[in-house]
Amino acid sequence: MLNVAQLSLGRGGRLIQQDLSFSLQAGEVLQLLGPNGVGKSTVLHAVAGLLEADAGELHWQAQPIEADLEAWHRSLFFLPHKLPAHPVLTPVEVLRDSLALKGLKPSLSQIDEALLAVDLLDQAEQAAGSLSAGQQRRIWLARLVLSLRMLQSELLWLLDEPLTSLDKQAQSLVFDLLKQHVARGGLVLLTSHQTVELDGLRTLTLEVAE
Amino acid sequence: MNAFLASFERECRIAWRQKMDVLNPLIFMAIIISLAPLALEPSPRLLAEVAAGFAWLALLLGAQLTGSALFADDWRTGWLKQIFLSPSPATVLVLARLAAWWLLGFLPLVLLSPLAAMMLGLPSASAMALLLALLLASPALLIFTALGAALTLGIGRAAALAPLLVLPLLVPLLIFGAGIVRLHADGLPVDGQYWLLAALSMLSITLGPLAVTAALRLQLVD
Amino acid sequence: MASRFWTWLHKKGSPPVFYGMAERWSPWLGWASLAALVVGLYGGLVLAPTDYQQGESYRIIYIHVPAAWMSLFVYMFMASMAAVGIIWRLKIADTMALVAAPIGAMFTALALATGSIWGKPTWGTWWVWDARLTSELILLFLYLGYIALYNAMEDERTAARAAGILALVGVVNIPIIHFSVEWWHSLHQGPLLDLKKGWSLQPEMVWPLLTTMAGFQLLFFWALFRRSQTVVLLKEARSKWVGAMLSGDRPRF
Repeated sequence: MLNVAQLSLGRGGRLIQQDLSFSLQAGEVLQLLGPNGVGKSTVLHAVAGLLEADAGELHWQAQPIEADLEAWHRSLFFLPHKLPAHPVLTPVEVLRDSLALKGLKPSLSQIDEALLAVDLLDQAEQAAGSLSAGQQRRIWLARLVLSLRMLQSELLWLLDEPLTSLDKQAQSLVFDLLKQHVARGGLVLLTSHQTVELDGLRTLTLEVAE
Repeated sequence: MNAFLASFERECRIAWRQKMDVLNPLIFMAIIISLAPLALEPSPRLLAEVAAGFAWLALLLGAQLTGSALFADDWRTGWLKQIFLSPSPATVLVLARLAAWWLLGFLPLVLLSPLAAMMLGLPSASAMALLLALLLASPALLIFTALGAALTLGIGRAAALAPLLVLPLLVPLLIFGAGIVRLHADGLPVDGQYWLLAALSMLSITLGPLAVTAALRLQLVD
Repeated sequence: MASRFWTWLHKKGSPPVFYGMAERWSPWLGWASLAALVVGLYGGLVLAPTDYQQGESYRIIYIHVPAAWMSLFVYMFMASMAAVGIIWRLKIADTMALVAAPIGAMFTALALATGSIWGKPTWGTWWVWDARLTSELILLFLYLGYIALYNAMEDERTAARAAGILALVGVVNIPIIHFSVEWWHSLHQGPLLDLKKGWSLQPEMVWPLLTTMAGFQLLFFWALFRRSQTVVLLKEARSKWVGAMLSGDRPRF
């Protein structure tokens, strides 16, 4: 489904990845590994189309992604390492705004259920700025829950360090969400320094470009 | 269109919760205006003469004060990435951001300027001409300021750099805008200048959002 | 056909090929510029007759006019290179836009300085808010903004793109700025006479002017090539061809 061919990426005038190729089929999870600075996060950004690659081709469902950017953007959810939660907005609002970008209007009960699933219902109406780092990340886990329940087209998850600042319980929640996503035929490309406990996990170790 | 409205609503909501960010430039402008009589001399004739020009300068600087951080929160929180990964065109969402800021951050400044100029002794007829000029120029002013904010995003010293890039580009607005008030005071026709300001604003609205979006697109990786 | 053109362009734009080309052209440009400037300045400062209105002071035009012309030309050149860099991803175009900016800023500063020196005997003061001088001053600010933005960014490609967008916006605005400043000046026309109005150059004054203008033009391309070569060397410092060149075995370009 996702095909990355001969990707070359530069940062700061320096080539950090050269001729990187991999592909991902429905129901597969690929974890990018490698030392700091090798460009794991950069690869994720390039796959999402947020960074212009020096060379290479990206195909989604056997189509170049430029052929239908709108469909491509409907198909993917990108969770950056930095948290996209505006400090003055509440978790409910963050989720509602995020879904609005995808053209969806979730009901309050749908949002509440998602927040309940990540154990954040008590903080639902609190400003995100007053929440702890772990709680802020949980907002985005709730976003993944909503993706599973409401966004059938969101088949590709790009998760940049999804386990950072999460406790054991929340981490197992992430693994659980990944399992559900895989079960619906979804694809996951993620970076993490932690062990991802998942059957059938594929890994790809990036090496420093010469 | 739905994406535009949803985005517009979000930005207004955020601006409303951060009222001080809206008020600060107003206070800043009021201070600049009150410094005028202290810097020059409190002679009514002199002050009335410089009032419109001072109001314009205060507005340009006040707009820079809020404008240079226009996209900072969106960038810091990663929201910009979400915007650029939305199925709706990023330009539309950026435009929603600009529209919200025009309404809540800019319009108050524009409305306050003529009042401030009247405090310096500008006759009320001239103040109306000033208000109209400011309103017509405000879209262009907004777009240029947003461009400065977008270009300097991610630079630590952005607050100092953005005005440096933007202010020279604002020269035509300043010249026609302040010129209108003087011509008007002399009883000369100023319709042509109003049209010029409107044309500059139209040009900026047409080309500007594309440039702003292109500049933002450069800063999606941290 | 089109694809052959792009292959050709990217080949010409590849760092070693460009470096070699610049290496071959620079001496010609440098000497030609020097010759044109010497001849032009001799013609302007010695051979050209004294002006009946302005006396000897008008002779500063042999520096001022070419500098003012170059200040605009370089901005246009810089913006075109930025556009080429943005549209066709040609790195060498980014480099040329980058190195052209300080040269353009120098020409602008020179035009301002000479304009101001010319103003002293004519107006009796160093600085007057004359339309042309004011436009030139704003142009200098545009150059400085471009340079400041380029230098503030760490990632080279991002810097080139961002500064390029600024240069393109600047190009759209320069005519508008110029027009607005002219209008502003007409509104405030004081007792001053416009420096360049009211007298026309005699033929003996014209040829040296055209010669110095050509000299400045050549000087720009010489400086552009030399500066680009330095930047290319710095960027490519770790590549094989630079290593080969420095180790003494000069590759044939």
